[in-house]
Amino acid sequence: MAKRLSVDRHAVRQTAKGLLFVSPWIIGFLAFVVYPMGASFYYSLTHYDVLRPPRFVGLANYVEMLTTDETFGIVIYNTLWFVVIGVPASFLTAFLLAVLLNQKMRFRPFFRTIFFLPSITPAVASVMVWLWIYNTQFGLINGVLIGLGMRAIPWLSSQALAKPSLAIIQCWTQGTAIVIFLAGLQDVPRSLYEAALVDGANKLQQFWNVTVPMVTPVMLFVLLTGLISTFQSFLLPWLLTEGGPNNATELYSVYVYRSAFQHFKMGYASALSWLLLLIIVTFTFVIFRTSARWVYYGGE
Amino acid sequence: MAKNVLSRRSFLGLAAGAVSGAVLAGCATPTPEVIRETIIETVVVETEGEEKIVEVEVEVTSVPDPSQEQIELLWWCGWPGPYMQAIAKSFEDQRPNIRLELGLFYIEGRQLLAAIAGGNAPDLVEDIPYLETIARDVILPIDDLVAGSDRISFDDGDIAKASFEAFFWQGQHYGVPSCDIAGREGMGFNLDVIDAAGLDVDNLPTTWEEVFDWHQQITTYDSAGNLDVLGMDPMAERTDACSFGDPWMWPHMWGFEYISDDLVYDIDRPETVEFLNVIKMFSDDVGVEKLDGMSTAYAGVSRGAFGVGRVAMRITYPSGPGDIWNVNPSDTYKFTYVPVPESRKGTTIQTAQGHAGLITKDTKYAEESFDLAVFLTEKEASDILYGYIGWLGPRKSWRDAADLSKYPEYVQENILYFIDSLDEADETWISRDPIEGITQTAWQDAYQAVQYGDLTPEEAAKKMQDDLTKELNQFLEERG
Repeated sequence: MAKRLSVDRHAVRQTAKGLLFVSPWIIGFLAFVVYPMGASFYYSLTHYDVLRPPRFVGLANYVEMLTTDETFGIVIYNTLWFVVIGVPASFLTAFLLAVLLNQKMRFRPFFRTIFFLPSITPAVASVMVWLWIYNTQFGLINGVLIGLGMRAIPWLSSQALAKPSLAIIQCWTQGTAIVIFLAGLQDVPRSLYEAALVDGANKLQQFWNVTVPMVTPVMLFVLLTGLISTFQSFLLPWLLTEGGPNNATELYSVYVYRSAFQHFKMGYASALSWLLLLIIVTFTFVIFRTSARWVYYGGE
Repeated sequence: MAKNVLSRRSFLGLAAGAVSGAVLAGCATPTPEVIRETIIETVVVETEGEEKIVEVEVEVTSVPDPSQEQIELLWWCGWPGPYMQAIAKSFEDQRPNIRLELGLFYIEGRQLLAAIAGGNAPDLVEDIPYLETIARDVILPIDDLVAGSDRISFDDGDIAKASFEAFFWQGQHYGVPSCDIAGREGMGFNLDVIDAAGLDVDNLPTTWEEVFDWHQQITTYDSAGNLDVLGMDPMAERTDACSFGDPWMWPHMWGFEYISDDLVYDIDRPETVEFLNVIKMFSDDVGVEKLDGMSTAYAGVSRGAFGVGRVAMRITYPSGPGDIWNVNPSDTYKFTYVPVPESRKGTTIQTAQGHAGLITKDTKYAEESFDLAVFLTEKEASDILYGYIGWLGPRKSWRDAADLSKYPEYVQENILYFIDSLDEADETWISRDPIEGITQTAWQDAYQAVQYGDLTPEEAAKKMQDDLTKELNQFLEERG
């Protein structure tokens, strides 16, 4: 009995010590994640302009969003377009570049560096550069076109081209995904390529039947993280076009920001944010559920 | 052999003692500190017969008077230029018991929201969504402060009454007009571009029909159809900080107020359809994508393509003449009244707007904040602002006595137009919209939808009326 008590007291002390050491994280998690999430959910059920106390309205914000807010429909379309087109485009760009950077070639470290640099360049600096590249009067692209006597391309002032222009910039910033893909590619056992070669597989067949299946777990990670971050895209559309022209680049996060800070509708913005969470969770769930069909884990 | 090992208990005890000592030390009464700071000072230097304003870094020290309460005011001064530091230094020199902490710029309201919500609001703030903030009851009325002051008055005419009225809400005044305050809009003409197009610079257009005619004569394209020189983009200011998506300008040009004093919108009317058609006329003539492309091409330059001589005409606000001269002193510009429709030919209009110092209700130092706000209207501050960037101070007494020769005469005339037009225009308008942020978005959506062909002007006018009425009703219901 005395021994059991002693063990229990020891276990309690050990647990207490462990909790003490992780307490800073726990406090931070509660204060900076759980509380704000709880507060924003409460505010989503209110009309709240920050400057005056919130007024409880139940699900009115959600009802307005889904039934009467015409801008919401435009925003959902723009965001889904950006995700459906932008995510695969940037995914493929990152993967193919990683495959190229995995080849034996001269100055490989140099090329790896320059392809990674855009992802660590500050966003505002990148935007300034791209504003110049896309400039219709003297930009890098249009300056050449005009010099050759051709019509300039209205990259950011055309409704049809504004979103693709943003997607191009997104492809340019895939340095982190490239690095992750590179790590996955280098993890593919050489013995598999040798075995495939012995079986008579050419380069393309080796790529499709060895490389791609072995890298699918990494692909799943890159796809999910790319999807989540694209749904929340804010800096690019805000700095480049502020949602224009004619709402063509009014993405979800831009609309949340505008509702909260320009329209003084923090309650509505909170409701938008919670719906975005639901959308992202749904997409993530669907991808996870279908991943068993296309993700190959080497141990299986 | 004994081991000298620090046990866990001893360590915890020492640590507790150190922490307690630090806490006690932190509670000690601070000794008065010598304040050292490096500031930018303006010095007038004569070089080859030409006077230039040069900025030099100066380290200054000061010791506050220990018998007076030492006050620190948080001032969100609105603009980041060294002129604001110079104004702050001048104020502090005259009030050694007050230290100014300069805060954020180009606030746009979001930082102010966070600061007020967090209980850390500035004492004095400028360049925010004025009416929206005032209407939400977080700004201190100034009527009593003005009544008790011998330095400023609503009625003595030294500061235009309309400038005070622009910050008047539900029976009280809230803002001390200070920087960049004058008539809001002026039509700018680049006389060199106009002359090169063979048009008469002494007979400038005054109606939108005349402006459009000039626009068509001035606009040129290269052989591939790219825009070379543009006559006018009536919405060019939309890309700048103070967007001329300003919703009130167009109704004023057509002779009506889009929101009444008893807070009812009046947008769905034939005049709205008319001016949306005017905006569409320019877009259709050039192509909305080319128009937008030209407007954004020089976004980093003051007044964009107009400032560098690629656009002949532009509506802009009071800081325009000085800013443009600093960017492009080789071209000659003229600023005058904005165009009106043909049906109102001969009518001159102006809108009272601009910037003011607002005191937040959270301040502990209302008198001192008001003192600073009034200081911004007075000689020292006005001298500094004019010297740096050509903004005229709000006081007539300053303008009458000031040496304005820093800028050429035609620039002075342009700057003075914005001030004088407030009193001299046939119609002076003031819009007070408590949800102007939402209105601005609705307006932008409407005119762009018309430009891009998504809505007819009639549909756009009705949509604005319906949407904004709903939003305003919600605001009023919550306000109680």
